[in-house]
Amino acid sequence: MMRKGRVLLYIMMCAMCAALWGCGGKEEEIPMGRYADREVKLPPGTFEYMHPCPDGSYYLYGLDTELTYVDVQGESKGKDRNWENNANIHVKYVVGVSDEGASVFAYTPRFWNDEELEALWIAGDTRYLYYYVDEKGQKQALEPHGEGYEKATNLNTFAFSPEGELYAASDTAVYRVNVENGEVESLFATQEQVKSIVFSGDVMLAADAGKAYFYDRAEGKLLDGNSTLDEFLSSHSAGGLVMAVSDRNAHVKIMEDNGAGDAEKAGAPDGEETGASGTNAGDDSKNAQALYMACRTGLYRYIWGGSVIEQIADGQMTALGDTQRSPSALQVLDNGEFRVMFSGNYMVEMYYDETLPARPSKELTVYSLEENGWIRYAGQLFQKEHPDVLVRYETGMDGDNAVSKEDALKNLNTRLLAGEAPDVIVMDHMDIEQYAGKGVLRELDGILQPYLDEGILYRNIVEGMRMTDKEKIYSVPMMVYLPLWLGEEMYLEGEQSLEDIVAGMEQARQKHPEGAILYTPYPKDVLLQTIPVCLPAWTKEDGSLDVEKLTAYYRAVSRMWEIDSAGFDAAGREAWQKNNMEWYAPTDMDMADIGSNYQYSAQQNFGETWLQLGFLMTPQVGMTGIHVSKANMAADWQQKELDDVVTYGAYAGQADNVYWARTIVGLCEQGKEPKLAEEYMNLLLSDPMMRKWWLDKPRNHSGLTIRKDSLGDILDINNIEFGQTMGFKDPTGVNYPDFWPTEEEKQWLYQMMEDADCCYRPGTMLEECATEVGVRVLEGGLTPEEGAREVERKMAIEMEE
Amino acid sequence: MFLLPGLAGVMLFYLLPFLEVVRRSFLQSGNSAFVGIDNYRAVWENGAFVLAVRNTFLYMAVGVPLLMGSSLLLSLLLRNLRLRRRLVSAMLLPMAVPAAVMVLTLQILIDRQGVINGVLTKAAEQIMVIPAFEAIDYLNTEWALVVVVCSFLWKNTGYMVILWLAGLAALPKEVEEAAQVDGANRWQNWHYIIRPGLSGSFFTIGMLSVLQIFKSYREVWMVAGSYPQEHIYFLQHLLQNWYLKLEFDRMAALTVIMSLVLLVVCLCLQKRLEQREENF
Repeated sequence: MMRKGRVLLYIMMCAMCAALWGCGGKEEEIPMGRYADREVKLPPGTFEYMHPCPDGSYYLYGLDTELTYVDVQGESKGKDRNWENNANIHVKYVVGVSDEGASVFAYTPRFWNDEELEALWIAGDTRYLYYYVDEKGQKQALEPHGEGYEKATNLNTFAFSPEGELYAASDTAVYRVNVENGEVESLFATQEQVKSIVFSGDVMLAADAGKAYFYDRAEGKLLDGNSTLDEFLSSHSAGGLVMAVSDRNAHVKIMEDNGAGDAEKAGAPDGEETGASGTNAGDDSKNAQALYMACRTGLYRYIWGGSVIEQIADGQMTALGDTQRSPSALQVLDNGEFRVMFSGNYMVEMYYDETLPARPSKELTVYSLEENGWIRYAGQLFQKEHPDVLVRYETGMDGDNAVSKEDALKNLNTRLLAGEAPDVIVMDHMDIEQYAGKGVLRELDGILQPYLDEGILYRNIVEGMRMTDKEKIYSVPMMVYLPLWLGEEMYLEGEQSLEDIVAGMEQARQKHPEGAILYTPYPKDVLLQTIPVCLPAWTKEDGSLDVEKLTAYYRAVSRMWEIDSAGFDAAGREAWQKNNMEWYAPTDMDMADIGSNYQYSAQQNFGETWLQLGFLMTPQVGMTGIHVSKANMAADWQQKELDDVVTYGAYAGQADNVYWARTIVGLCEQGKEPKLAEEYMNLLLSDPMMRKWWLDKPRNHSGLTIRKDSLGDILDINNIEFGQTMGFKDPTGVNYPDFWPTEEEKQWLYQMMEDADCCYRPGTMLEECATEVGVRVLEGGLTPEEGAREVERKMAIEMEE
Repeated sequence: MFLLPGLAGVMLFYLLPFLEVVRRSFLQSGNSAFVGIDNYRAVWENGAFVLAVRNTFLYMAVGVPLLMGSSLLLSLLLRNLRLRRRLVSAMLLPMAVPAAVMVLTLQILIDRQGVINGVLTKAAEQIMVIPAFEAIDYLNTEWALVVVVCSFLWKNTGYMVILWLAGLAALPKEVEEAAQVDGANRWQNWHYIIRPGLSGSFFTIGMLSVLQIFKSYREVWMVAGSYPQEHIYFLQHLLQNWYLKLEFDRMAALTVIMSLVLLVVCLCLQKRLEQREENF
């Protein structure tokens, strides 16, 4: 008995060891071939959607752009097919296009031109109106009516069948619409709004975010559902899902679902399995009638009647994975290639490349707490340059899972403790000193030195990241923001300190006794706009808190809040706050962006804003934003000569020459791919990366590049072309080019960049604590002295730790 | 043999990880160099540790006796009541309240502009005729510990009452009845019969109360964050903040110290209990 027990014990221990260490095995040989993508150069215009034609040609259109036909050779035919804008159209919401170029669109009326429509609008009737334009360009109003169609219904999705019949979907049903007389026939009810409609022979497939509906157009009846597709739609529709069939003329008869929920079982990857299939759709696309679906996780194929949905291209290794864009249309080409149109004027062709390994042999892990578009873009670029590498970009607090910052940091630290460190970490909102001190971060002096020696990067900005105790650099910001004020020159000219800002505000209040001085609906907004230029001054050389400076800060911002509040009664401010939240709901970053926050404030009913404090957050667009804000400000003040009245300049708080570091990148000491990580860092610091990002995606809040030549290139680019890239409809007709930065301004900006040597990094414990207490100080709950002491108490515990 | 699977589970999921923690307490986090007892020394000399230990023991010293005493008193009062079951069910409600709701309620009550300050201000003006009652910011003053203890009692009393009632139900009725026949008064009944009979429950409820003290950290953190007012800065705050700061070595040392202290406390209590049972 004893012996048997001992044997059993040994067996259990062996089993445990095997479970703990794994069984090992021979290294798997990776098969070759996978889908890659290439960008398609689109004709001029800002396009959002594509209508694919069966011969491989397609129509491009945007909600405010003319319909453009692109033939099989990729030649744009411009206005070959007619699309006439109607003067009465205010906003077009939804558009449908047929293979022959007929189109239908929904719009809301420009009510001030039409008394009848104005009356409708005032009565709260916000129905869409519809127009149909046939392939010859003949336009007619479409007035949907018929049995089962309620007048108040808005049609949100349109699709033309291969025969030219128009189908439309509302939030709750799908209809057939007679374009001649507007008669509507209700076909079937849906659970949610149908987003996509495709045709395969007589069968129409309409899909919402959780269910696929099959309708036999010849028989006029709804067919049985398909749980495989339903499950797939439920789990893959977030972020947009588009569909296309391999052959629109083949009548699909087999709709039976042979195995509910087998998508997972059959190995339909959900993004975790990276390109394992390596399937070339061209091999058998002509033989099998298939449905293709493109979404963020990849491109999928479903053979009609089957129980398996197969991933044929991985989102992570193609443009599909870009979270900044959503796919808006998919086209299946005869040669096994695909075209995917994305919102935001972007199209790619996906082709099968036999020279690429089906699954990358190496993996580079990039981590950031929050989604960072620039970093994601860099990953895609890096992957294109290194086809054998998968760049896995992970975010600790992605929008879907509502993880708090603390939880995200704990998860990261657990990984570090387990030896699973990412290769690259974006250190925004993280404690760089702590991570560097614990040996998590690699020193970057070696990588950065050549850039500094050749004067490529702004040395002052890089040096601002040098850690005082170790005298080494462990992370580097790719972008920075610079503090700027905007307003009437007399208020802030020669501004040197926080007290000067207070004095300027007092002067402005004397001149304008009512309304706001700053754009700060809430106390927190005053802190948002002033803490960055003061916080670096609150820490003494020994690392302790300078309570006197903090007290002085609270005194100054309290006074600013008092001056600002003197122009309102309590009800007035409350109404302002409500209006601000209801109509604009600006984020903290919006509030800190000098280029955009005036646009919020200027459009409100609570009078003018006489001073703006904030940060220049983009080079070209930001400077333009300043100019536009200047014009708006002057217009509000009814002053014609802008430069004499409204101006802008750098401002300092308690610290001078502050820059706000953004996209701070560090490399992990224990990363598995140190060489690749270094190459990735070099790519981040390269001119094409910094410049291309701006030309491709000129968006707010991204920052001014720390590379001198890139910043210069961005400021020097052809403004007209850039305006078109940004979607300005008529670059010569509107005055935007007047607002581009002048040569003098560019030189001023370069000088500011050269002078910036005091780094502000958001998200530190001190900032969080000072903001929380600061709100209480501004609301009158604490005196400035009490507030400073409270911060000191809390920081004392933190220091003790 | 029957113990083997359970023992293996304990070994794998408790003992081995704890041994790993002990090992790490002698290493430096980051480079894993052996540092002897430096981590223990660093913990011992850490000002935040001293503050956290002091506050945790104060919280325990106040909270546990108050919880045990109040719940025992209530159970004795409820013991012979007809509505006992319904009342006990009602007392259990706080346990079913989600932490987030509890925190929100607390904030509504104790905020500077909250209900309690509002009531006190009104009372001061109208009843006591003291015009200048100054609103108290309870969570940011020394009142913070009082708030935490009150919320701890509110949440856990009902559960402890049930445990005491179970202990009381297990006492033999005959002994009490015989004592009453012999002329024992209520105090003598309590002192010589009920109290010794509840000594087993006393140990269990005491341990559970101590554990509830540690568990109540979640609500404290949700109300006051990682760096609360200094009177409610507990050991869990310290551990959590060290985790965020990658101070794994100190965390390991602190965990070992805490485990040893708890072990000693448990052993002492058990020994005391055994002695009492022998005497009884």
